Amino acid sequence: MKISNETEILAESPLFCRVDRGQLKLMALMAESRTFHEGETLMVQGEEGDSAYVILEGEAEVLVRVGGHDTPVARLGPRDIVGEMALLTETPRSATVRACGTLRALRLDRATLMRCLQEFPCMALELLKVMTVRLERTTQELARTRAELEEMRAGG
Amino acid sequence: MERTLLRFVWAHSWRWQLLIVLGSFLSFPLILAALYIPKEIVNGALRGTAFPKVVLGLELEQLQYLVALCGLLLAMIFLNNGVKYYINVTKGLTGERILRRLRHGVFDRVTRLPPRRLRLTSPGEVVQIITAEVEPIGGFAGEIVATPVYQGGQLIVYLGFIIAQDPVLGLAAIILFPVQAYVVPKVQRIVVRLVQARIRNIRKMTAEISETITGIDDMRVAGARNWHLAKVSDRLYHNFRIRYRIFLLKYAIKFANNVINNVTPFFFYSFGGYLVIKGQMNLGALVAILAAYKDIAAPWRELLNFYQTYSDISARYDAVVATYGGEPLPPPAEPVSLRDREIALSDVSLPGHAGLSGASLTLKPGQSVLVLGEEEAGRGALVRILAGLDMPESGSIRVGDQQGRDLLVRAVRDIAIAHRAPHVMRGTLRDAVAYFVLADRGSGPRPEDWERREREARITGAPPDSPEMDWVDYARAGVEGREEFDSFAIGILSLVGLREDLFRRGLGVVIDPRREPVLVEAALAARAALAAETGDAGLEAMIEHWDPDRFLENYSLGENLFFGAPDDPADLECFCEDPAVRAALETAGIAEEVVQIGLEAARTLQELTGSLGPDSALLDRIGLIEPSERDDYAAILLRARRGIGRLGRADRLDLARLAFRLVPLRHRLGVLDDPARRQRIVAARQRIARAFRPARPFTRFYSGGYVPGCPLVENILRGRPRLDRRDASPPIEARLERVLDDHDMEGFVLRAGLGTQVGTGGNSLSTSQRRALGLARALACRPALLILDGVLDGITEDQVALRRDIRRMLPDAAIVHATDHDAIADDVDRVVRIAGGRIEAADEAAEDGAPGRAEDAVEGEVEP
Repeated sequence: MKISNETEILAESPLFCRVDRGQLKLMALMAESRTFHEGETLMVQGEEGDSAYVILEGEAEVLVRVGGHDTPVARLGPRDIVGEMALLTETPRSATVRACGTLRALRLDRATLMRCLQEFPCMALELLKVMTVRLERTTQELARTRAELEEMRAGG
Repeated sequence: MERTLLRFVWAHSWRWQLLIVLGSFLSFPLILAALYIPKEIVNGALRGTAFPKVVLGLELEQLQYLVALCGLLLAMIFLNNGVKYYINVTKGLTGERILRRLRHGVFDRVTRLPPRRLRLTSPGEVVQIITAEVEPIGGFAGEIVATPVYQGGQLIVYLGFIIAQDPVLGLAAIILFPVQAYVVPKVQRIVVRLVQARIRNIRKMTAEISETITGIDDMRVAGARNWHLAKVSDRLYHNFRIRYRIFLLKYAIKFANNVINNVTPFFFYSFGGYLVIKGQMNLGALVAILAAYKDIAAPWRELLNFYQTYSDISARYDAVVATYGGEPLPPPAEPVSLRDREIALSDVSLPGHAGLSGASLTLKPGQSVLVLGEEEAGRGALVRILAGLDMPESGSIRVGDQQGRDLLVRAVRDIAIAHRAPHVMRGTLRDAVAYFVLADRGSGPRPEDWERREREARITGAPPDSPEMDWVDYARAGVEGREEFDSFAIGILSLVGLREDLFRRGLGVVIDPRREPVLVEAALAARAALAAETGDAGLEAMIEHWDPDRFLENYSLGENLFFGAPDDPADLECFCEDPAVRAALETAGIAEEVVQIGLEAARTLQELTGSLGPDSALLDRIGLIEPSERDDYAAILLRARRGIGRLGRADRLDLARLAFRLVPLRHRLGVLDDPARRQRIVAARQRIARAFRPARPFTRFYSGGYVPGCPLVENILRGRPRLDRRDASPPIEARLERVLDDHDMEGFVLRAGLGTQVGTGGNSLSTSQRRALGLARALACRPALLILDGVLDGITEDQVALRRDIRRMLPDAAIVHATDHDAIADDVDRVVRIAGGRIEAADEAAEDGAPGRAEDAVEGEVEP
């Protein structure tokens, strides 16, 4: 697959949809293409990570270890990005991601993203916006969950 | 070291100094003869009339006499300059040898200084002293005796000659010498003080520079660049001030000397002239005085210059001696063995901050002791005493039945310490493991120029051994020789958890088959075994094999076309420039398409990177073209608008070079995706193989042999690990190791890994790898006392197992675990607690009982 196709897919991903097409091409140019086979892991919960993947083809499942068992919590497909937190912070992976069938992905490492952000500040701004939206949603969810918890406690 | 420069130089070079003096005096009559002969030619041969002359019993006519004199003159010229040449060479040689001795001597002393003393020294300072500071001494050492003797001799001869003829005249000529002899040293003393200040200032500056460079990351992070610049700038300012004052004084001395030298004739002219006019002195006498003075003034000036230089250089020497040459160092002491002997410290103290006072401790062979406490609370000091790094200032140390506070310092061969930040020297991994079992001298094949090396070493007091020789003391590691040591080193590195890293490094090695025939053979055997292996389909799917009938996505276009690699990887960069390569492309009829591919790639790259700044780091990362080449390619693209056929030779070459570098899976520019184009490339491969006559060594893939230009892993796999499968788990290295292990063949890869470089200070290793390596090399010398300072003090499964393995490897060693937490208290025989510089609790029970497990009755920290 060549860069122009990869760029199209990147452009459809929510994180990058507002980034300029030319800059996305550059990012695709510096990303590395990766193939995973059925059952192979893109990342393992608790391990250190310095890269994110944008899925180009195929599917993957997200597993979170609860009580010693890996429980599937989500399924990812083309255009989804996974592991992006590791790009910005140096926290361990919060979940395991496993390929379902053959999966093709673009690998972005921290250095690539950081350089892109330095090179194109507007991309940093876009990233900031997306992250803020996510944070806001998470905060709202947290507030709702808390309220529910309070209700349950009050009720119980 | 000798106290003064003169003594140092004389003690180590008096023979050559005498030779130089002798040569100088020998040249004196030769110079005179060379001056006298031309006079004789004019007066005797040309103007003379009394011919034939009888010379040495031969009758010579005028012409013959002229020829004879001219021949003699020529001989004198050769002889005179020959002697000069000899003197100069001897002076230079003497200087260089003295310099080598001084440099080596200083370094030798620095490495022998007590560690406490050395902690105050900056590495930059030592470098400055050994390299720059002593350098002028070398240039001067050859002069140090000859100049004063020769010039002084001349002065005395002239003076004696004049005084013998007329004492008054002689005294008149030197009337102002005492003034100079009084004033010059006075001023020079100030100069010497300034020279010493300059040396101190420069030393501090080098120390500051080296500290800045060592901590450059922290400086950048802290944004402290300007502060460092200001520090150095301040030093430079002081340096400027000092140097300015020095040259003011130097020129002042010169001024005074010149004035005095010229004032003396002034007196002669004025007073002498007055006396001549008054008739109290005759003119002939005055002329004679002036002539005599001229003769005397020259050597006198030389002597004054010599004195100035000498005191300058001497000040440098004194500065070196004051820093490192002052205290007497004990000669290397006789080593002490700790094997199977009890070590007892009693009431030892090491004063100072974070010191230790009144500590007593007994270590028995085979025992393991946990020294528990904060590093500053005395643990660090105790570790340093045990490791033989510091000698306690009071108390006593007993080893077996030997007593002496320096016993542990002398037992370094039997002690090993592993700590959290080991310094790994530059070299291979093998060198790093061998570092603790180095012999005192190199052995094995000697360098070709051994005899000369040895002679020079003898003359300059340095060892002749080359570091290229074999320095490993195999007996200490308990192995037979090199081969066995390699296996031993691999074993130890595996023990400390570096086996996987060793294997990975080994896979990446590019081998020179002429130097490593054994490795090549093993690699080919592994290749054959792997080809027959069908067990791991997953592994096969990770490799792109050298298939002559397929386009390879993980190889560059150049490699795809020529289906091979230059033996020297350095040749790959300019592969395209090789006329044979271009000829083969032409013959195969693919040259035009290669240029076309380059053009398409350049165009795509320009589209993608057009918005980047002029020196963008992104271009570097893509790696296809240098940022500096971008404008060149832009110009080529402009020119190519008129048609690719009209491009010049240089442009076509640039485009071909770009095309040759393209690796489809890595660069994904899309220019190599067309199946028809791939077909054409594969088809051209056969034609190129027939046409290509390489000028430099080149090996084809699938010649069946080893491809020297490719790393070991590709030679084993007959192909390249697929770039897009790099994140697969388990990774290809692990799978490959398993397969090779099944065939019992992984050893050669590990051996290849042993030969990889660790970088300066081990910078190609991570901190944890360095730490593991530090432990490995400590184990390699099979110490009788092993100190683990802050390492291996956890209770993870790996660490527990490793501690057990170490004990199995060193059953009779005393092992000291020094740490600040008691997680492993259950794992050791005894626990010693340190706080506030004192041992708070150590069980004494073990001293009576058998070595082995014991209880700490006082604190009860140890479970039996």
